[in-house]
Amino acid sequence: MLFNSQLFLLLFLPVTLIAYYAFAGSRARREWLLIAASLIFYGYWDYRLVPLLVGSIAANWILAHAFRAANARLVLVLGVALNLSLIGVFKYADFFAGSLAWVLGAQHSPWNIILPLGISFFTFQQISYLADRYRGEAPVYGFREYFLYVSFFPQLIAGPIVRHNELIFQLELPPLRKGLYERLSRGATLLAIGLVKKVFIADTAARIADPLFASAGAAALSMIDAWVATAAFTFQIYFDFSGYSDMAIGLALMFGLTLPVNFNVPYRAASIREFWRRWHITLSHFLRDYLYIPFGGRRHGKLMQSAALTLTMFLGGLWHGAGWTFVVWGLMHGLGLAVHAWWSRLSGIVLPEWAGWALTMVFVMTGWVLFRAPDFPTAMSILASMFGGNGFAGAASAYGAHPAILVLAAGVALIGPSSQAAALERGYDRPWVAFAVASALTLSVIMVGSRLHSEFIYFQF
Amino acid sequence: MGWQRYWKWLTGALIGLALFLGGVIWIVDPYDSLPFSPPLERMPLAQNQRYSYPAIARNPVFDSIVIGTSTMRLLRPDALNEALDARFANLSMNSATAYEQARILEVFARRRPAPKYAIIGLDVVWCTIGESQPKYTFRRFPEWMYDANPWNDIPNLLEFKTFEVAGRQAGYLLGLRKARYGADGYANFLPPPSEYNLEKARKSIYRAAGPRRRDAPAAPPPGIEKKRASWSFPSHALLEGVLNALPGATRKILVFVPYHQFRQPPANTVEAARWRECKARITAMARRHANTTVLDFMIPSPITARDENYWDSLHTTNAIADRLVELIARGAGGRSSSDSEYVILGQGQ
Repeated sequence: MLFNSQLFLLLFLPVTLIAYYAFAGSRARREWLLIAASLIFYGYWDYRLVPLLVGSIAANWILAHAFRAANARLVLVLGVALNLSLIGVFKYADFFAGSLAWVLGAQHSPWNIILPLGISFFTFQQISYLADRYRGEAPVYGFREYFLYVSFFPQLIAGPIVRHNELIFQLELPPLRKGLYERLSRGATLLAIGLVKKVFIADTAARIADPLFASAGAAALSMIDAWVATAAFTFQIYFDFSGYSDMAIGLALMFGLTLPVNFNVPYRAASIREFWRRWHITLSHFLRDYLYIPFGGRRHGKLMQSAALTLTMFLGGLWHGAGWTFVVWGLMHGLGLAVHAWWSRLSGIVLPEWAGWALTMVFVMTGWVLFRAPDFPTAMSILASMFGGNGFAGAASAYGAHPAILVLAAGVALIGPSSQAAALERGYDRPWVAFAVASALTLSVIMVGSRLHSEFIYFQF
Repeated sequence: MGWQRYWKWLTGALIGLALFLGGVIWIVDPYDSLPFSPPLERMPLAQNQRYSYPAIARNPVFDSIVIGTSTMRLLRPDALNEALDARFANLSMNSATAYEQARILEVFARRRPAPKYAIIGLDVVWCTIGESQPKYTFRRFPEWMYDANPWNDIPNLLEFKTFEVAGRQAGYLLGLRKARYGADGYANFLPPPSEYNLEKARKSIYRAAGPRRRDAPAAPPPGIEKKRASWSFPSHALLEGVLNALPGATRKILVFVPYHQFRQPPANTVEAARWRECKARITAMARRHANTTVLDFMIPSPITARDENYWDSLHTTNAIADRLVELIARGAGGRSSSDSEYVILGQGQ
């Protein structure tokens, strides 16, 4: 089920919310209710995948019980292997087989294995739990609370990647505790902001980006069109994913649970390191704590730090998608972070803020071309066009939507406050704000009924 | 104000907006499809005929129907009513696929135990070869309007298009705007006859400045007769379903539309063989169904040979459309054309 669907907004959410607060007095009932709702939410796409989710949760929970001083390493290896093989089969089997066939000069007919939604998210979430169990930093949880932690529908499909110690302790808090109306109100407001970001900005930007990226495979774009396509996707992915995160955080808050912040106006970053501290923050933390630091972090000198950064981001790229364009995108960011680390320690030169911002944006946008393009030739063609390789003249006579949306999007992304800061921290308990939020929600509900539902970009990961 | 009051304002505004918008949709009922909506004199006002026509198909005033593509849209229901003593709705839709035509006829037949006439225009959509055919065009097709359950229309109406059409419907009900189609589905989409320009029409028909001929090969393509048997016309199963859905008492008139002669395939071509095979199979099908007549206007004839009868190679002038009505009535009565304007291919008794 999609957050941006009438079924979710008009039926699933109100019914689940009312039932949850009706069961507020009983922890067991309200948690089972959320589990059942989450399974319905997940199974609505494809009920055949529900056993996979349930099996993965049950297997990891059982493994979490098996940690003893003598066998901790073995259990961790087993658990990580189990999770990686699951994701390996469902997400990467075709990719690896195709790559191997390419190396051997053979042909690979894709197996077209169905990709279970959110598998990257719930698998990595559970690996992090096993790793924390191994380090002695995580207790054994009850089955119900662990199940709910992994399957909780607001964060199940595309994050934020929540750690056990960020969520599970909240489950025992009474939903009707002090601040109920503030949580409901702020959650609904953030949900409305996320919906508007998704259905009005991201989906409109997609109407510009999609045809341009599609046509770039057949013929080179002009310089203007290449920049328009890249800018459109730059804003599409930000408003799509941050909109989803806003909805997830807002929804969870309506159930009285706080999820971690995932975006903090990333396009204002003046360096690539700052960008990753503002973009998909929960993934950055995951990569830092479970890959970069175990790889040595900055403990073994600059050269090893650069290797650790590059390797971490290589795996980060692969996590995003089973394709070499994602791998190169990850490597590019890893190298960018390594260069930034060397630069800031060795050169002694501090770029002016505006120059750092401009350099970062060009770097990030260049990366998005690799991220979005279906293959390398298309990506290379667009990049060549962007930097004058295919001439300077010409532009499409019409785009899929008016490019003014990109100016509006840039204004919101660069000037406005982060949506979490706006919705969760500021005081706005005024009737006109409530009416504006209600109007935005109503318009969004009508809007999502007016076109085919567009899925979120991060659902594919 | 405090968050409790904010929450009350928010939920109150949400409920208020929902009631207001829901109320507008229910009262105006833009597609005349909602159960228990106030009985107002609504008209079809959606630009997309696929949204406008189900309400007409359900209207008990009509006992006869025309379906087809734009090639059938110019048949005036008033003229048909007079010629055949019936009450016609013309529900032919621009570029309608065979599936879409079958669906609108299904809605019409569902509401009537015994329709009087069903005139089905046959053009390329019924004679395309292949394993399958597209169900829809690029235009949206609201399946939910075509089923027997009016209640499932309600959630599907929550979209901007509904409010746009509701605005038009309200404008019509208040006397501020005209209807797009007649209550019987008919709309004359041609420019006024004063704007007719033979040169332009010829350009459109011949894709050239003046008349030209398509040369026929001296002999048919080798092996074509064997090939014909293996051709599959995916829409014929739908046509069979349409004929089965209509009671035996209903007069079913299948009309191969009068394409301009230049558009008709020259003899001894694969295309000609395809049309011949299609006509033969549909005629055989018609013979299996009671009260079914197949009239072929897609022939070289005084109508199809004359450029002045056409705006383009598919669409005739209004005068010819009215002449077609007379000829259809004549053919339906089993009488041959006195001037070779059509051929009766077959009749099911």
